[in-house]
Amino acid sequence: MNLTEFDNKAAKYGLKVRLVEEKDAKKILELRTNTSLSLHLHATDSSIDKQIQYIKDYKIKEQSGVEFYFAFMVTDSFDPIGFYRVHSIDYKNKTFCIGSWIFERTSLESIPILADILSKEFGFEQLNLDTCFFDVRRDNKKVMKYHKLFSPIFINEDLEQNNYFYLQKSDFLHNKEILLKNLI
Amino acid sequence: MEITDFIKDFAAQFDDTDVSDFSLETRFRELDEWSSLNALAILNMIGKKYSVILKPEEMKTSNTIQELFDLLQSKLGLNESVFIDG
Repeated sequence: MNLTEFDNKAAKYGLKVRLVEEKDAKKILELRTNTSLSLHLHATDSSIDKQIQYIKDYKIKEQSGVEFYFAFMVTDSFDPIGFYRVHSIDYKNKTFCIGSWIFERTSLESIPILADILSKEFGFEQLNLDTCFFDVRRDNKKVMKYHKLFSPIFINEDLEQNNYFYLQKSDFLHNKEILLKNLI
Repeated sequence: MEITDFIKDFAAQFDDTDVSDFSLETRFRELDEWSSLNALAILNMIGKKYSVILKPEEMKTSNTIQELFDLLQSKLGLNESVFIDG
């Protein structure tokens, strides 16, 4: 996957982006095992070897174009400050899923949100997909409120406290413009 | 614009932090619950309630609720003068 177009877009938001590598395992683990950052995320095994294996398995999916795991950096640094995964890409039905959104606390609070917008732009615009699926834990009120700014459609809920939604391209494109006015 | 109302509006953007934890001196970035999503909610609240567009770059300069309130007041003052001049 040529990320030049995506990286150029990221630059407009003051970010750089690349695909996750095995060398990111330590940082991903550090963020995902930070209790204040990962309170509402799916549990992560704290073994670095398992994280490296997870990335190796991911790289196979990346090769086949069904998953892209992004590392984000601010423009003047090479150290990732956060990660985001676009996965389960279905080119036939033009759908994708998002998740694994985690960022360290940054001095400029818009950065994690801009990374979310960029990753959705990647799915909707660069890959030309139509529908984005995601789930949020019911008790993760802040993230729920945030996602609702894009007007997603509620699908259902499960017994494990997850609510499932889908977001259509037209709603994303319309609402991101409103949101960006507050961010850049 | 009353500071007490602003503190209430600010506190309403948090889900798990007790209202009594908020005062003029509160260094909001040091709150356990603080995240980029609170920042966005606060910027949205300021836009909707006070009709001021505050950017994250501007918010970055404020560390306490008092500093953010002062920044908002200065922007409101600017808006008013633009309005009067116009």
